[in-house]
Amino acid sequence: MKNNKFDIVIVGGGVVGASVAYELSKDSSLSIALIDIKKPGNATQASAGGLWAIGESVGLGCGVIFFKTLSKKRQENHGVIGEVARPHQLPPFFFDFCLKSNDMFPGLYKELIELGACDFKLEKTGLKFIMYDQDDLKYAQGIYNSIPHLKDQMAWLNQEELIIDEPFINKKAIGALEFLKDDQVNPYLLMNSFRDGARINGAEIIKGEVTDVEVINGKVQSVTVNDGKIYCNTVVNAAGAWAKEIGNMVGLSLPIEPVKGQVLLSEKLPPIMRSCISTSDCYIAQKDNGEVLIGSTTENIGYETSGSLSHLRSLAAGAVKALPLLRNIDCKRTWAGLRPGTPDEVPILGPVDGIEGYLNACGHFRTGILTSAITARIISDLVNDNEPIIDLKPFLLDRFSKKVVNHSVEKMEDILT
Amino acid sequence: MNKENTNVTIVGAGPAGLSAAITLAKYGVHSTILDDNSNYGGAIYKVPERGMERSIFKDEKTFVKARELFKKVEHYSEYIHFKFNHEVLGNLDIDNKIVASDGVTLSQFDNKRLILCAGCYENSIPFEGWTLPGIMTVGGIQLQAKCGNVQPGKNVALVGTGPLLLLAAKQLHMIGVNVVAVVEAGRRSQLVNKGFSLLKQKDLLLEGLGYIKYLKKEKIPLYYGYGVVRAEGENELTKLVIAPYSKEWEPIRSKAITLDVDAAGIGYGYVPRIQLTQMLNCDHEYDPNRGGFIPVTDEWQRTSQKGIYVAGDMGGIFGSQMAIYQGEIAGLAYLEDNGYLSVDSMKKEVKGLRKKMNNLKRFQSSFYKFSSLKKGLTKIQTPETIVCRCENVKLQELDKSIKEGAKDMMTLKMTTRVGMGDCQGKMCGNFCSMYMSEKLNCSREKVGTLRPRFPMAAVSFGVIVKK
Repeated sequence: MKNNKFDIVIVGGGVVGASVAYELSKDSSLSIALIDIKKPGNATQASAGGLWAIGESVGLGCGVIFFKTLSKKRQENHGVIGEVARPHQLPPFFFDFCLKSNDMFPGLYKELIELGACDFKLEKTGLKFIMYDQDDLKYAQGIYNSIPHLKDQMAWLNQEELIIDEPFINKKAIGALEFLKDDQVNPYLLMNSFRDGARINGAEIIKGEVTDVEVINGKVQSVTVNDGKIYCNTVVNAAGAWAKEIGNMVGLSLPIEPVKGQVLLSEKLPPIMRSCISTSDCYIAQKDNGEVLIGSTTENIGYETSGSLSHLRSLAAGAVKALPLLRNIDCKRTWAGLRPGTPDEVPILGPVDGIEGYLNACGHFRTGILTSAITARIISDLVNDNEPIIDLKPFLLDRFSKKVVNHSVEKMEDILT
Repeated sequence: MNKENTNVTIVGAGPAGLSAAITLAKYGVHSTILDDNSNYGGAIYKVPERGMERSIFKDEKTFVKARELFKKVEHYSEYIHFKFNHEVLGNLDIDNKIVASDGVTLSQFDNKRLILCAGCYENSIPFEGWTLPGIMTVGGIQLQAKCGNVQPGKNVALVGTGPLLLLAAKQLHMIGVNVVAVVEAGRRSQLVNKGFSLLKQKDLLLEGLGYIKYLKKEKIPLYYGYGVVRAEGENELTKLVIAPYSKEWEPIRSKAITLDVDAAGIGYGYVPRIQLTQMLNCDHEYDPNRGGFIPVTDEWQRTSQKGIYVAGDMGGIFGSQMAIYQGEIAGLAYLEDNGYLSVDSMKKEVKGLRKKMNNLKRFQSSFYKFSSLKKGLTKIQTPETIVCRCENVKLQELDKSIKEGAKDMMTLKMTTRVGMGDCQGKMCGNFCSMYMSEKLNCSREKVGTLRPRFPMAAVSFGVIVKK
């Protein structure tokens, strides 16, 4: 380490930490260190890279898959479908948060390329929810009707239109609801691009494990890394699924738990799909290099990243159902990531009463790639004493101490099982 | 069949796996052997397509030894259950299962009672032009010549290090190939004054000398202290450039020689196939003389994971004879651990075996200096040389990543895509870590390895889905 004193130390080198480092590094008067350690389960690297602002907010992607699993479990237990007719939809402020972040990507793309950072492969794809039956249709109608103000970002495709648009789709699909602005990036290239940008702007990237954060008289003093102290004015907790451990070091109890997601990846293929696809069995995204990524499970089993055949089978079956040609295509890799899950599925951002110099940038659950951009902007606003571009109240940690949390992952399981 | 005795799974039907299965069978213990080939024998004891007896190589040493082993397998056939055409795809820890594909569906096997004998694969060293059609591995060429009388080309050079070069040259010549040259990177001077320890294994020594004699008789040029520099050709190989290697195997380009060839076998050592022990979370250590990273074992072939044993080249390169010995030891250890055998009788069983193993080890260690890979092999490339063939990653991309701070294989993978292709780095992984540790002047342990993912070999989504 060249230096042991920085203005800002960011703990966690995933997409969120890297994005924050890049955004802050634009101010050349600030000295910045990004601290990263390789751990199995890095969620950025197991992400689909979807910028599914509406899709994720209405519970598509992993949300609907998880919902279906729970419903099935419930049906098996009780034999009836209950009052929870569709997966949890997040509140309006979260839509706004996601949409604003999504809007930032074209600009980020341009500035990072101009700066000389790597290309994170921003692609205009859209996201289609594929419907096989009347239940799927009813579900899609529910989504459509619940967000009237976003109608211009959605389009219905009937069976013929769907097949023209997606020639390889299951011919039995009855249609699709498309989210026109839900695009995609390459997730780990996005992380690398942010890191490149930060590095070019002078931030230092330090490999090591944070073992302590020192707070004296309510003020952050230093971060201990690799048995050495790094002094700083501000520490940003962007430690993903491990954010709770960092919180503990400053005496906070962050309600963040690892939520495992398994994914499968195909061999490289010529383009077989125009949009990203979500069904109620899986999501499917063909990446810039031709690989098709299929995800994802939602499992609350701690820091475990091993695969399980039943889960892999059911995701693969969902993908083969949606795109039958995949049956004869090779799967070349599977792995799992640990999402940083919060009880209300909303990230934990910003300052905490009583600890000066500590900022949360964690708990991004399923939307870390998408909301990495706006998270960085918020942190930058806070560091520079500007008014944050969104109202921070629903993102602050103290929301958990003030009211009962609705729709928690655990609670959904309680309702359904 | 006693059901209790059927649950040992052996991965690999080569000499180590067969030997382990025979040992278990002697005590009435059944085993299931998984192998992706359609017959037993592994690579070294692979049986020719038309059967062993009709092969022109039927009197060769390896076939004689193979026949001995196969006879025992047949004798105990009641206890040894083969699952051929079963490719092991990895370990799913949460299911407590290893998973194999037969090309139709996946089957699962308990991961707590395993004897792993997955062997090794050839180490690939990239160089300018190495992706041209006509460039192959020595082992690949030799296997095809031995088992199918396949001629890789009309004029063939064999380049690399180790005794397989000599054997392959002889066998290629026997099936009518013009062997242009055998090019050994090791220096002859490092072979002499090892006389004493070499004599400990007269058989193996004579076998090797026999090959050399054959080459001499047939006037096949044998170069010591030479190695590959680059390959040339429009769409296929036409010329192979070799040069004298310095002590550290750096080519002296001013003294390069060009060979006119239409095929070449390249063979710079072997890499233990450790992906499965990695996925099973066994501890590993680095041993440059035994092929690199290998699972840590005790003297009874037990890995750090209870119930998991390793034998043969997967646990460090020692060749087929040692594989047979180690297979037996692993079998005995399993028997002892599961109460079929007392410690004392186990120790008695292996007394003679240990002596043979020690002699073999001593014999092999006399070649370490001669044949162990030197750092010059990381200097024959140009910045444009493709290192990872699956993802088309060039050497200069490794340099860029290292310059930007990559210090371990995992970071190198994330920044350059090496090892993200279909082979998951089996081809380039060893070279990349060798290159990285050279560049950073740090140990191979520090650079680490790639983390294998399920499935270790590509498998169709249809097979995954099919129950």
